Amino acid sequence: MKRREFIKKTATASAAAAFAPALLGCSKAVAAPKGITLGYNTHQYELDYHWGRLDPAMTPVNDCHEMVQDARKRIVLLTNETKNNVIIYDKSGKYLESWGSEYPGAHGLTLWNEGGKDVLFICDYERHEVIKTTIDGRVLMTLPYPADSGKYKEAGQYKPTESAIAPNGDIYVVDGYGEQYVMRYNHKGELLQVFGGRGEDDHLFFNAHGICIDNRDANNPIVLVTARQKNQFKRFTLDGEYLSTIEVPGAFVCRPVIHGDHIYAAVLMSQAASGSKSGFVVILNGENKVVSTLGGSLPEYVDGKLKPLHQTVRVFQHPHDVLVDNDENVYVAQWNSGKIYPIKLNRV
Amino acid sequence: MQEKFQVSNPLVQTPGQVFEKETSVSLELGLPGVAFYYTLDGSTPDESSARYTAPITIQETCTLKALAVANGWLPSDVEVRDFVKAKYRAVDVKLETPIDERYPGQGAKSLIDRASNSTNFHSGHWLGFEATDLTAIVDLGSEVEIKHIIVSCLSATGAWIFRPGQISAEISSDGSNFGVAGEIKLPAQTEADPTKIEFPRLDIATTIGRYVKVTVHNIDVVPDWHHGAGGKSWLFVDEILVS
Repeated sequence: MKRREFIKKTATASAAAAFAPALLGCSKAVAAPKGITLGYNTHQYELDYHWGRLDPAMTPVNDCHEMVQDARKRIVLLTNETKNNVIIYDKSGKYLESWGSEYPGAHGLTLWNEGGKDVLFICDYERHEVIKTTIDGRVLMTLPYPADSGKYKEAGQYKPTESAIAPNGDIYVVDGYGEQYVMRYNHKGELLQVFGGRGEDDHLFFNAHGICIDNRDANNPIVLVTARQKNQFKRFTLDGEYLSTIEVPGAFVCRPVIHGDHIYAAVLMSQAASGSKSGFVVILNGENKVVSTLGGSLPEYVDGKLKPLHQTVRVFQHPHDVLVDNDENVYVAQWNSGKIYPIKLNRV
Repeated sequence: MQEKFQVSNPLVQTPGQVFEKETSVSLELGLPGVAFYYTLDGSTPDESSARYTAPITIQETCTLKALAVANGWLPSDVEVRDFVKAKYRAVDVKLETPIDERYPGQGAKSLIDRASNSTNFHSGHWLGFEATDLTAIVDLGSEVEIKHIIVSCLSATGAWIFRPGQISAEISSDGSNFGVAGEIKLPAQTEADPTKIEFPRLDIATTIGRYVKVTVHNIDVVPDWHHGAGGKSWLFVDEILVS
């Protein structure tokens, strides 16, 4: 923390010297003649727009859906381009390897360290399945549509978008593009429980797009589920009991990503300008309050309520996931954004 | 090489894009140093156009085009909003087609509440129809001269929401015997069409009547150029206006 604070202060000082007029009286990041800085308060970043650009003839991407960092500190990208569904980079953006041609609806990518080994869970909404693989792509387990849940008549109704793994190995899957249920399996893939579903009530969803285990309180891990259409995250116990809702008004949030004390999330688009490449990134602190946005408006709370957020500069089009690496730098994967490779932002 | 990025479009705040006498519009973005330029005559705004300083009052049917500019960024795209003055205020409306439970709006009365101001189809004002048409009967309260029938509908192809293919109308004085008033075919949606509220207008020979039966035709099938080609298309309508 101390090192982080020191770096932050140093960086702020140098930025202030260069762009003093624009920074006076507020902490807003503005355009710089050289380099673009995004973010507010404790979380500001310099854009590294050219990170990870590859030759589309050799290693193409379609939608860049999600990213994780593996135990070897490599950056793992999931795309629905079936020439190479998984692309692995080093942190400098150098291509290392790629694999996968059988995931046409590759959407959710979750990393889990299983007995010292990295494994991946891929949610494929076109195959209507969740596939567990080794980090180099060997299939370990396939979770088909949950026929025995009684919630589905056929596989086609089930369009899983994300998975999350609990400390005991239980696998949670959200059917974000399907019927909005949350499936909970044990580590062997046996269905234990189904909760959620479509609807207006607190424990229900419209577009349960993402899920994660919020382990910021290690003694009390909870399940955090995106309710994208309502611009919310909903908190549940590990047993699927609804606890509370985190409001992110104005922001069509994708999956929550826990890093340190914070929640990071890509915002696909702004409520205020839906359908027009109006995405950005939000960062929430340990109290689940938005402290920064990247490419979005300054977060302001009035009487404890966050004013609706919206995009202010179009650095991002349709962000779909964020990854925070072990250096606190951020990577943004984007959906429907001209087949663009991920964008990196270096923390200042 | 340094990439350059655009400012986002101005955020348009308005109580309603349809109005009887006048409406107001404000522009904002929350970006330090941003300036807005706009036109109301259909021309494309640039930095020589009127600069926005205070909310704009609109008293006639027109199109607002607004641009955001900030130092160090490329100008925004042009934000386009149509404003429509409609003479008659309907007193009642009945839907002949069932409401889709996923997008029920506030029921049939959404079609005459004049709260048309957002392209957010979850706003609670939009009625959505998947591969079906909308037919509604609007009651104007008394017999009036009818020349124009305007439908407020959403064009948002990213969300599989398409402009209607056709609008047709019948008019009645007693609510049971309707005579054909006219129909209009609308241009096919293209990939380049922005997300916006559109107000297609059916012009008819002046007719006296109290009840107007309007059918808004869904194109039913997603067009070939769209990534959802062949799927069911959505039709979203939030107002039916008579003038």
